[in-house]
Amino acid sequence: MSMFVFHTIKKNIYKHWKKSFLSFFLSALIVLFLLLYMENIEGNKVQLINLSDTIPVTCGICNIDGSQEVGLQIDYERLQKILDTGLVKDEVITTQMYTDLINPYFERKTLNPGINFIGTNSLDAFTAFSAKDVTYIKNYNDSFLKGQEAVCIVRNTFLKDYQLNVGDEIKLSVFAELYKENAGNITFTYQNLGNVKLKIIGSYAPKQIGRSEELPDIIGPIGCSAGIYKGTGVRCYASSARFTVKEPFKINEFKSKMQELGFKSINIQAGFSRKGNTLLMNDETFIMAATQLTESLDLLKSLAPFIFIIVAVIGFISSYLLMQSRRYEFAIMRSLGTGRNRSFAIIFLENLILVLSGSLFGTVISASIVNVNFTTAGHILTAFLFSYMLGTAFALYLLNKFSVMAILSKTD
Amino acid sequence: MSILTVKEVSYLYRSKYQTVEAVSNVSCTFDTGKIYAIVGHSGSGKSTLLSLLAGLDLPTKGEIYLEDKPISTLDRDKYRKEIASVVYQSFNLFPLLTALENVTYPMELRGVSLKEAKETAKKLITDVGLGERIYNQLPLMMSGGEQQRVAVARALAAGGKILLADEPTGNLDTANGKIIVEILKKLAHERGYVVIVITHDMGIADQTDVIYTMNDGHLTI
Repeated sequence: MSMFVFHTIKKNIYKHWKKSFLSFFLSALIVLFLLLYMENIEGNKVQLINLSDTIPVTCGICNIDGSQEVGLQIDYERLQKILDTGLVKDEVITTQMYTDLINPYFERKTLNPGINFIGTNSLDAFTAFSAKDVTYIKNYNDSFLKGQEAVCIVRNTFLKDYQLNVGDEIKLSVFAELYKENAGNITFTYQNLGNVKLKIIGSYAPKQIGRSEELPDIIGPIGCSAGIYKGTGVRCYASSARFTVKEPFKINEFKSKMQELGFKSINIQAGFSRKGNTLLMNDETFIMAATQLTESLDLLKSLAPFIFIIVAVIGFISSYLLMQSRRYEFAIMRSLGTGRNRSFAIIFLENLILVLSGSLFGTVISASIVNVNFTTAGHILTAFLFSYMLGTAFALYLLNKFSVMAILSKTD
Repeated sequence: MSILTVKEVSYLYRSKYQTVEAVSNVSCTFDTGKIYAIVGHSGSGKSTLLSLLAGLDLPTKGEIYLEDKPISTLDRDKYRKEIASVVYQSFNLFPLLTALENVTYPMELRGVSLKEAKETAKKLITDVGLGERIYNQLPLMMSGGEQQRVAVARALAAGGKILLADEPTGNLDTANGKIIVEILKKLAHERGYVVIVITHDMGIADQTDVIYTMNDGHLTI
């Protein structure tokens, strides 16, 4: 019996080749559209996932009125707690000290050290020059800033002023600049931190004019500069800090953690201060983009049920229209003893074969246009076949409801 | 011997607006080896009775028996597949199948292999007086007479012993009509079929063994 069904289906597809081709082509077209729609959703999802890389959320420590992000007094221990949360990455931190160069032939002490010494973990801390403006001696590069070696790079004018060369060792008397606020008055004092020896491993030539924080005389690793404070009893402060939020989608969690650590929101009314106790977030662009993408994604996903309902309707309409003219043929089949269920099965399978082959063809075509994820394509094909054939089944059910004698006698 | 017995059969056509009794309390028998005519004017209920005899529908009242078994208890698709065949006024061949494919269809439906079905079909086509050239022709390419003879061959391919013909010569000229009637008579008298012909042509009815007359749903002999 199955040979009869198979043979009849083969014959039908061949004999009604125009209608067969239409069915095939229509299903290929619908699957192509569905896969493009799904690719759109996947594309949006990927964009959303990669949004934190495309539009990173950066934040920095600033003063309470938001007017200053460098030259601050940021509690180093509290800063370290931020880094320990694991919620940030790509941190750029600086410490600022003032030094005096100790001449090897005599010691000189001063109350107002004039040489600006900045410890940092990245040359990105400076805007007046970049890494390519630095010339190193052999075996050294920017990575020296990640370590704690007692080395440094200096500004080219510093070399000239002090008649030094790259490769020389310098001895510095280091001072921490301490800032105090008292009834609106700001005072600076310099606390001696002792002496340190540093080897000059490179020099830089700034391309722009800038503040002293941006054009330091000496730049050393932050590990080395923070280490100078150890044992002195002087509290270590960072002068600037900025970082990128690791998981911008958990930005609220990050903000509440910062609040727990005592960081405040900007208050323009608060007045000037050099205390670095406020968080400045650059998250508006990310939030806007993420919101738009999420809304777009939600809209596209919400259309899915309607799309498949439409597919079912198309299946119904196209099958009904294409099969309607074959009602006479169905009546002859029934009069010859092909049962209602068998004749339904034959026509249904005939449609299924055409729709399945059309949808596979549509998948191949869409794979040549867009990047098709085959698992997703499998799900789409299954949903399409189910919806379309549901519509087809209903059409065939309606078409199968007729009086054989009425149709065959009508031709009389 | 009576192969078909109709016992007090009535059939009502029901629509939203009215009910029409097309067949009213009809009782009759049909024996093998005979050709019957059911005559009557248009709308007398002849075709309705034929569709009941063919198992295409069930009576509203009464019963039709196939050798003492009520047709209503049988698998009516199997009945049409293996026992009773119908030939129509408009031939009703599959328009896109060749003559050979039309005749093999009922045999393939019964599970006969394609090769065997083709051989039998060729024999049946020869039996109804057609040659080899007709095998691969589509109905569109055949004359009315040829189409009707292919329809008869297809009816014989079912392998049953009951052949129902609804105005088989209605669309044919006199000569072809005569040929068809002769074929039907031969089937009854020489092969033991029970042949029931619906017709309004008394010339054809006179050639049959028994004439039943339908008049407004009632049958008389």
